[in-house]
Amino acid sequence: MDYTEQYSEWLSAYLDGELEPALEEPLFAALATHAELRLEFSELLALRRAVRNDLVALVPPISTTAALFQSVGIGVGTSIVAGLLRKLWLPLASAAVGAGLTWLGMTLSAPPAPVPTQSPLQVSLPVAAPETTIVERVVYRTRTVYVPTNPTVAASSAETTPAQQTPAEQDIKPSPPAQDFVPLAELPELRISASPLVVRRYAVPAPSLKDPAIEHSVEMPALPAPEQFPQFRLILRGLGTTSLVTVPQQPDRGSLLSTSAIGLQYTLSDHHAIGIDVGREPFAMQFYGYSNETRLRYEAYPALLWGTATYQWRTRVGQDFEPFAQIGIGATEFGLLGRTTLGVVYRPVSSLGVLIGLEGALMRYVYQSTPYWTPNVGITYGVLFRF
Amino acid sequence: MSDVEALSDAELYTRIGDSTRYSKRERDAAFAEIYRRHSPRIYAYCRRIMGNDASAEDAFQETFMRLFTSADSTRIMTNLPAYLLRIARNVCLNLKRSQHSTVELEEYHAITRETPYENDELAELLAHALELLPIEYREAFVLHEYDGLSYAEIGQLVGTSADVVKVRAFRARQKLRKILAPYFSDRTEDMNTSE
Repeated sequence: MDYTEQYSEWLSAYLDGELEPALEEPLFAALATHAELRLEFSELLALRRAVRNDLVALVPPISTTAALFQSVGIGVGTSIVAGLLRKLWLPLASAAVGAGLTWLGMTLSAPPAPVPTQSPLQVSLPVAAPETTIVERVVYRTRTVYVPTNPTVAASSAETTPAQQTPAEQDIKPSPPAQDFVPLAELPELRISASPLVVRRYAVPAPSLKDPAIEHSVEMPALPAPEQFPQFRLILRGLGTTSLVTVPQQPDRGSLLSTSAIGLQYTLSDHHAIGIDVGREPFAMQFYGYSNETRLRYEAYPALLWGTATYQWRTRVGQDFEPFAQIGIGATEFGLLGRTTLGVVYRPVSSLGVLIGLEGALMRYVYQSTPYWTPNVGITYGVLFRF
Repeated sequence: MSDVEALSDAELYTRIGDSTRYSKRERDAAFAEIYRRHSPRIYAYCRRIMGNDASAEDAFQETFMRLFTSADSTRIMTNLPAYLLRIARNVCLNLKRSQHSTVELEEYHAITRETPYENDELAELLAHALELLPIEYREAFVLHEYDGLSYAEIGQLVGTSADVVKVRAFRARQKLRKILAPYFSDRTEDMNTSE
């Protein structure tokens, strides 16, 4: 037998608890002197630890259990469903509470005020087809009548009466002056009268929306769009959190969905909103238990599905920024969950925004009647759609 | 504690098979209790011997189906875990014979993606490394490490001596170390770097 292989066999037997006591001392001496043997020892320990962490092989999936029980005719309703409910009642209850609150808020809130689709100025304008309005304009003109002393002049003046002029001339031309001027003092009589000379008819088109003058008159500064309540927000976000519990495993971040969340919020007013959040996130778990009277330490870092009912308080800074604080209460697959978020939403347009913030989560779970806590902290970021 | 939790494996087994003395509800409860006690061990065996998810679950379900349908109240059950493992072993070996012996690349990726809790890197590598071992070595390793059976118990189960099983388990460990050597060397380098 090879020298190294003999030590390896002793090492294997030692790990199995079957090494003869007399061989322990030479084995430890060899461990102290052979680095390669120490390496082998650590690798064998790692293999054994990997077996303990191989949770997939140690826990039959609940779907398999359900299928088996159904196939042997055992009522699924008694055992499996009860087991499922024991695990899922908190997420289900959270979702139900969130849905109930949303429904309640929608039912109790006043119906939204009708929102005009045009500005008041535009609404007041006639929008009927243009028509022609007849305007009768009476033109008055001061008429000065000179009574000539010279009958010839008088006759000449009489020949050019307004009735013989064209309408245009009547309108714009003054009466022709007398041909012969006589000193005022010599005038025998001066009569001044104001009488209607002519009645004119004009065809005036009615004003239309295309009238440049009117178009110019409605150019008013746009009013800010009023916030309408109720309203919904759909929020898609990523979670960059890490557990404060230290375990040797790497977090399960196999896919984008392992660190993401989706939320639906119902805005009650300028500052208050409620909703539900569902997501997946790695939680480091370290807990102890007994198996065959041996105390074991379990460590895992699985991505767990969670759901919470949320309340958000928000305010407005400037036109585009909305700082907010949010709390949520719900559960994961393994136990109760509380979440809190502090962040800010940037909404350059009314229906779309991006958010970034700090996120904290605290999960409580129980194993073999002992409670354990796992806190997660980190950042969150995402987009929201308002509708 | 319910009444079935206080019963021994032998009493539970007898109850499953005795339809004259026990109601269906009592027999179902006895089966559920046996399942609660021994399903992790049987599942670990099926999962690590078969490797593939679907066939492992088939074998696992088939094992308990056979227990349920063949329960005989006149039989004295002295070692129910060993009995279950024997059924599981027969089922797995039969399934193995009817299957390809290689794991397709797509299948490998499907396994790794569909196991969210298999987050321990070494545990995941170990699961696939086991599939590369000869069935005798793999079985000795799984029954000893996962199911906690002694070499003598394994010997009884597979029909060989404890010494042979011990050697198989030893060889299995050495082969696993060899297969996982790249992982171990990377880890050693990481540790040295961090120091």
